[in-house]
Amino acid sequence: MRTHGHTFATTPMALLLGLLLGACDDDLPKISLVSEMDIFGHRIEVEGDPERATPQPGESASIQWQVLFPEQDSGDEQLSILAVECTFPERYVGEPFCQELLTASEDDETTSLSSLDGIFAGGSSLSCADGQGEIVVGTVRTHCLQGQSTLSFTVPEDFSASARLFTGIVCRNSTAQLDSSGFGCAGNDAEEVEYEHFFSQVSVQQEPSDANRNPNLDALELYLDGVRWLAWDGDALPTATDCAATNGDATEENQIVLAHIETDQEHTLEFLYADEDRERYDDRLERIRISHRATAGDFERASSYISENSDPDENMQLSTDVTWELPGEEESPQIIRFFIGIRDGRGGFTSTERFACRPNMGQLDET
Amino acid sequence: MRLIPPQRAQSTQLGRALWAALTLLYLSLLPIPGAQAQAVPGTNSPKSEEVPDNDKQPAAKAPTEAAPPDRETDAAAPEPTESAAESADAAGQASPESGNEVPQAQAQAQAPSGLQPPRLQEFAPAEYPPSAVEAGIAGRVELELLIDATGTVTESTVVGGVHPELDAAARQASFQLRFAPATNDGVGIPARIRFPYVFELQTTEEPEAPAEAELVGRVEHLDGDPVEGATVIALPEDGSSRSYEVRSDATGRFAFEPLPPGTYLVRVVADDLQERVEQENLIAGDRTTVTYQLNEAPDPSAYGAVARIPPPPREVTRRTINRTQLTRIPGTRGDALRAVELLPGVARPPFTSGLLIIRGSSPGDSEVQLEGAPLALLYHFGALTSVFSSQLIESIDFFPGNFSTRYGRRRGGIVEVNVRDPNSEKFAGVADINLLDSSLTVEGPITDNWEFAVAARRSYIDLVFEQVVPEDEVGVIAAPVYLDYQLITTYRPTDRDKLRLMAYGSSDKLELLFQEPSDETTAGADQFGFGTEFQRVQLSWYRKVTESVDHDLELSAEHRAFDVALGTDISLNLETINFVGRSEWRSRLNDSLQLIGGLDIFAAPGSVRYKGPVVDQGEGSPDQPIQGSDRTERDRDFVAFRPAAYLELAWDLAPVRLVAGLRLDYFNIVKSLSLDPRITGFYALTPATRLKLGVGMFTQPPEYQESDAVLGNPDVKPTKTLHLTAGVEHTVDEDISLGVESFYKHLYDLIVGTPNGEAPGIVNGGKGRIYGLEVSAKVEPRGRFFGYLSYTLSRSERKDIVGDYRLFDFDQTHILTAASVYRLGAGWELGATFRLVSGNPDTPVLSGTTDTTNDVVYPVYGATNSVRSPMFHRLDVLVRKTWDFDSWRFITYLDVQNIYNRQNPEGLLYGPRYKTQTEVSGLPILPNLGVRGEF
Repeated sequence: MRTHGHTFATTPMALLLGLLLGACDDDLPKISLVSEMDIFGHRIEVEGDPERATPQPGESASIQWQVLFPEQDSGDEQLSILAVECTFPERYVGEPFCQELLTASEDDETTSLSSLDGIFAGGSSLSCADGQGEIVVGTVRTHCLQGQSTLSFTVPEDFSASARLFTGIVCRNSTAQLDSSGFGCAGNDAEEVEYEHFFSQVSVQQEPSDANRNPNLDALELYLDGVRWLAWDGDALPTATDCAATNGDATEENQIVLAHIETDQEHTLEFLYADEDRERYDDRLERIRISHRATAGDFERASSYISENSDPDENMQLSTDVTWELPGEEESPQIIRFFIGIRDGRGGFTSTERFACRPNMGQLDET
Repeated sequence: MRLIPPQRAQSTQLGRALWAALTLLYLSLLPIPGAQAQAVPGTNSPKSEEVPDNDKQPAAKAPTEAAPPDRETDAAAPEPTESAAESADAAGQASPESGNEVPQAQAQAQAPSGLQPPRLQEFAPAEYPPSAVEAGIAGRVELELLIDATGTVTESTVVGGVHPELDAAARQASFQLRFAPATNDGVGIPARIRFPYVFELQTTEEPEAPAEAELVGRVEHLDGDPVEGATVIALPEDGSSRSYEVRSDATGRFAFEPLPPGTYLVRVVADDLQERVEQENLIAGDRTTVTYQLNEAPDPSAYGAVARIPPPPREVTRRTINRTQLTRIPGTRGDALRAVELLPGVARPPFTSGLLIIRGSSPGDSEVQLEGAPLALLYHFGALTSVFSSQLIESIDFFPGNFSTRYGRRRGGIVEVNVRDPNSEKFAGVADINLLDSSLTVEGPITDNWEFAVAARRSYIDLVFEQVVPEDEVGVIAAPVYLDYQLITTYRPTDRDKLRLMAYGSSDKLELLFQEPSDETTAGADQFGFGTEFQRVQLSWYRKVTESVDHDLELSAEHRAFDVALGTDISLNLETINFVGRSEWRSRLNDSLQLIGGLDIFAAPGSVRYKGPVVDQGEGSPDQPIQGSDRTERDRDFVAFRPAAYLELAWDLAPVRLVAGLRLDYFNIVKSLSLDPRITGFYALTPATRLKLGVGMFTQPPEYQESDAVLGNPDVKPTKTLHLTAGVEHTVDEDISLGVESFYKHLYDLIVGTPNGEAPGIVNGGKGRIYGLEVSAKVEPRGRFFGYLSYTLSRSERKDIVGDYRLFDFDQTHILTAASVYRLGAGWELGATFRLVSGNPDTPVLSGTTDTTNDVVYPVYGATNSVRSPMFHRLDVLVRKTWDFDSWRFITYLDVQNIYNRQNPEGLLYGPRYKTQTEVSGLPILPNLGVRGEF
């Protein structure tokens, strides 16, 4: 919390102002719109126990960053990722930084923390173009990923902190690199280069009670305007032909796979989540949050909390809903992708995807 | 001074009629026991008067008959007396208000055996309403009067009316009648009698006199109380040696006999008040109505019957706004405390934050005190209205630096709000209704030495809020509402003592549910709740111990609660019981030495419950997303005990004056003792020009959260500032003062964040330097005009643990303020305030970093406060119209902030991932219309 002028009293109005201004920022693109490369989240899978998101010291695990693209035909092969793996700080404000770096700079008031020079020998640099190599200094190590988004790592045996930190950059159509000025992307065509800085926290299971499993995708049911919306089960992504082959009507079971949406009309997405699939920790139940993105249209917000159960003894489906609308004048892809992420607030993450066809696309294709 | 054109007379009559109608309506709702029994048909039936239509000389006469006794009260009927008629005549001739022919009065009564009826001793003429004169309305108004055992008319009821205006005029005048009370065996008893007033229009056959001018008006104190017995002398500026002189009556009113038209020099002289001289241009056929406000004579040591030793000027810089200016400054909505924002050295707060930024100091480094006790809150939310009624404020003293040792625990500046005593002469009140809130103030004497004032205000934003806010965006759980109240009572048990008890408080509440929160605050931040309140009881006792020793004692107890919650994951509840005690002795040791000593105790048991992001250094730390930040929780009880003692010695060695002081503070939570020496010096170059110099140390304890073991760092110590001020002030005459002051502040041991927030999070490692120059001119409100003009050139910098000096968050290089108010006449007043201020520094955002765990994007900042927003400028305009009636005043005002709707940039709003941005503008044009009644 920021306490301007060292007093609490002025903070709430700033908060309110922020909320009000935030609600008025119609001129700015919304974060729920995938208009460029976007890191949606990361999923941890412990080796041999993929549903567990909390590796123990000495255990190996994978971390997969889910990167979204506005184009239907884009994929991870365009990516270059450079990440520094280190210890998550005990206390931080804003963006967390490697605990090792903070310790190293303790006696040097002039050290700039925007640089990693404190860890890597002065003048050192690393480019992922050099291969999949890595630099290791104590408990700090670098990782490069080219054309993929999944990284395997091992928690050091003697690791005693509560979490690992991965901080770095995702580059598209370019190569990730790290030098004294920080993370960057090097590419031939500057206009094509896209990048996104990121940091990810990986909770480490020091005690059995620390264990956390990724949210169960089967616990989630998704409805579009009251019709259950199922995931696409084809080997490849749906195409215009698939849209033309359907009319958007629900089946007798009130289900749909490829939705056909109307422009300038508010559609409601309802999420149901089985209460029994929420984990209990520290005498509390997880609070499930649904993040939602789409490659076109406007969500009313970027994420929603699943409602709380007033009677914890009664297993039931918890719900939340959000509206989405495609303005008629908006240029949009023929097939609109909806990305749904489930977060348990403890580092667990699972995602899924839905597809909708732009209005009148079937007729357009037929003509 | 107001010049009132002819149409004012109509307005006045309308007002009187309205007032009379309201009074009658009120009276009509009251039961009058035995009203039917009192009427005696035929005995006092009104006579119709034959009045020529072209009559121009009105006269209001007393009757020749009086009513029979009120049999139900066993009172005697009045007896006709010669003396009554004589008194009536005399009274009528002496009436300064009539401006008409001397009325005649007679009373007649019949007395039953054993009882003596009331006898008229002093007649009070009724004013003949000009509109009635013009309309040719005349007649006899029958009143029924209840005269108490002292001879005072306590009730007056119209039982035989002619016309509402005449009825009202007669009734109003009847309360000024003085009777010898009815008696029974020599003992005064109440009596009820009939008493007619006759209004007749007399035919004048005199040739039309040359056109003459009238000059009437009122003499009053600055607070509006009437000045009785003031001598008003009109000297024609035509070279003649003739002069005209009248005296003001008990209501402060005066009226000259018709005067030859021309330009006059008018002198107003009254005991214990400063003489005032004005030039008036009297036009033939016109009535010029004026109001002269007189300042207290230059003897500030006295109030009431108690002589007071004035404390020496303790501060190099002391800017005072007195009551005549407080509520008239454009752009403040008539709010006294908002006027402070316009003083030299005060930076412009962003948006409507209400932050008090004095000479480059952080808002938390300055304090507003109300009669020695710190105010929990200066403004209600939105910072449009302060939490204390402006009607009850006598003056505001502003100390931007080098303040006296009387004030401590703050390193920036001090604003001292001085509360006035309630009206000790009459019942008075103010009702104000405007678009945001309504307020009512009532005050008056209880006994000769005991008076009271009560005031309350409530906003009605809540009544319209739900209609205004779109339902699909914001759900209103508790609509925004604020209220405040004040109760003041003053008691003077002896000539040497004055006691004042105040109870006052304030409450602000708001709770909203955002259906579409901004993307950055989505999770858990959809519900916002805010509430703050304080209730305080404060006792003041001033005692003149000896002729050379004064003693002030201030004791207060306050409950203060502050709540804010954002969603379910962020909340703060701070609750304290604050006890403040201050005892100050002032002693004049000899002609040149004065000694002041005081104890200043602050004790606050309290509790804090906090859940949210870890505490950051605040100033100089750019905003971070709330969601996903490192979290902390705290539930703690504490007792803050901060005793202090101070001593000051003032040494007058004309033309030099030195004030040396020492303040000793103890802060129990951080277990720290501080000793702050301060010294100021004055050198009178000439009687009108004074040089001044000040240097002093100032210490401020850490806030609760900063020294808390979990939220902050228990090892932090108080922060320090060295103040240096040098300046010169010059008085052109009594009305105009000029000043130039330079200042420098060195700040050290500032509490700042550790790099990247690493443990312990905050430490005493920051420094600061502030320097600048203030130039100001002020015209006191003695004539038609008053105003301020000030320019501040300054630079305020801070140095964090890492990096070099950088700009302070609210560093404003140039601050130009011009505020003026001009009385146009006829009750019209026009004012304008213009501000031209450098934009605030800002920290650029270079890019964003995605927190993939929490689905939040963090900004990546460039150098702190390395860019600056564009220049801010704004013009506020206030138009006010006052209608003066006999016993009350009606005011309507239009206060328009930002009249040319300047889109002042207040900062940048960034899009998702911080790759796009848009400019955020401050308040658009904001008109506020209000009406006010004062009686």
